[in-house]
Amino acid sequence: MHKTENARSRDLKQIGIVARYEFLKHLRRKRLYAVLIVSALIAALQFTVPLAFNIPFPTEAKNWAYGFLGFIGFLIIITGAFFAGDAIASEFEHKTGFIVFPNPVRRSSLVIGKFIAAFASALLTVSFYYALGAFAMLGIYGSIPVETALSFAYAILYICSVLGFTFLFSSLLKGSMGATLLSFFTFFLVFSITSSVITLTGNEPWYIPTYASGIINDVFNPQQDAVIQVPGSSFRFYTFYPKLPISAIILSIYFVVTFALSMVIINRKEMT
Amino acid sequence: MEAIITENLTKYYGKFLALKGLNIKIEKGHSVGFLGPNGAGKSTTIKILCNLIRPSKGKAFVFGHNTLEESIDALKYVGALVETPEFYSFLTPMESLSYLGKLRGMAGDDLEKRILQVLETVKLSEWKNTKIGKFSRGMKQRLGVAQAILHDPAILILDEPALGLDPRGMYEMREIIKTIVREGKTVFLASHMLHEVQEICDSVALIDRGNLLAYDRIENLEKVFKVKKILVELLQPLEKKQIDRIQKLEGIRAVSAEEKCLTISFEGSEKDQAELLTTLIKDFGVQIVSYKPSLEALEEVYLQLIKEGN
Repeated sequence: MHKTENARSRDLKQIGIVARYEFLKHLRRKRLYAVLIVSALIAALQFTVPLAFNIPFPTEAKNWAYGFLGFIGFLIIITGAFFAGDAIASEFEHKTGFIVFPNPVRRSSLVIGKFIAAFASALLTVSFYYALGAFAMLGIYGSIPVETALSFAYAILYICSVLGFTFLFSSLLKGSMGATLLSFFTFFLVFSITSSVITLTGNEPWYIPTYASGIINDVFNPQQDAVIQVPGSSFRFYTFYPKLPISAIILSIYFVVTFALSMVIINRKEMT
Repeated sequence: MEAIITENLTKYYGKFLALKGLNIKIEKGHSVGFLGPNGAGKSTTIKILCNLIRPSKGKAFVFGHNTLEESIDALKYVGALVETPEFYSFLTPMESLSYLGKLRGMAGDDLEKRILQVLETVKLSEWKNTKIGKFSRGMKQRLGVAQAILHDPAILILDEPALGLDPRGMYEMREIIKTIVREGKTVFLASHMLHEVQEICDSVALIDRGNLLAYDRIENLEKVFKVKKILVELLQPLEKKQIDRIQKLEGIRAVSAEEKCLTISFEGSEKDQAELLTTLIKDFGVQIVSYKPSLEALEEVYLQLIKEGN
């Protein structure tokens, strides 16, 4: 019992150490600054472009937030892939694993520590974007809709889901670049196309993570599914909207499954 | 007590058999050289001991702990340098060693003092705050040794530690390892450099194509293979008829001469070796500057075994 407690305490300490040094990596490699700048630019454009072209802001803060967070999915995928793509693969690709793995550290502790660092970096970026949005809403409307907190919570779930997939790719592939690109490709193309094709067949793609991530925006403006019959034809257009709590559950399941799989793989992966 | 034990250790990479039922026991405090040509199975063995790869069959133990099932307990005793080490390029040696030390439970002033000490040992103090990304291969190799000895491990496992070092670096590396051996630590040293092994280790394990060809103390192997070589440095070169006469002496297997240098292969005890010296001086009137065992003996054993193995 005592031995188990000691082991647990050692594991927690090691996870903390790995997370700190991994976060230092994100800071030193300047990727974190780069995505923060990208976030600031996206936020600034959404605020300044309507002003520059005399386009009136929506009458309600909720509607402005809905538009402003239209980019949040993009930002989460970018940050997730950037911070997690090389988390595991680089240990094998750059052979740093020869120095790190022969230490009395569980590989799962290394993966969890790296995940925490990637999560912290992504969260920092997303929080920054939300903070900019909140300041803008205060400036324009003098208030922040309560749904913002809920949206932020769903954004955190989506971050976990994207990181889970990227960690899985990083543990499967030998190269960091491959893992990063596969993550982009999967979220920007595979999931989006699959989601569209499933929708065309009249089925709701509730199990696709990019579709489920729609709850981040839809929380401000919940809408009903719709079917439009094309006049004079049997063709129908379907419009689906992600629902709660299923979308939140789906994002959580993807995170748990992909992250657990990445840990299983890294535990078995050989450093040849 | 055995520091390292391998039992029927076998490793396949796909269909390729890299290690075939390796059985080795290394007593605590001994230094064992692990010799073999490229692809012999040296790195595979070391990687299994360091839990970097899994054996296909068999087991390996470090102080009684299975390296696969109790890797955390086994690796506590081990300081390892595997292949050419690569470090996180965004860290400095101080930060990198601090990271690795903390992972091993070291902390505070003790850790910092120890880091400075090992950096001094490997002659990297001057670059302690330089990013490792700017380091040469040799510098990384030195840092690799520093991280291996950081926690003062009971067992040091080294895979070609002199790789990428200049001659001075190689000498310094040998001296570091010798000091560790003198401290009574167990050293398992994979190397291509036979003289390095002969200088540092008390025993050698010879491996080829995954098979263990021999494992014994160096002097025992030399006896078994009846290989004893003496290097004689002369004041003046010998004439051919003198060399022929020496060759006819009892126990002499071969004599080769090069300028003022004689290499004599012979069979016999240390007493015979002493008598040979007396004979050369008294009977042959040879003026000898130095008379010492040649480091080529192990090389001869190695070559014979590899040849027999093939």
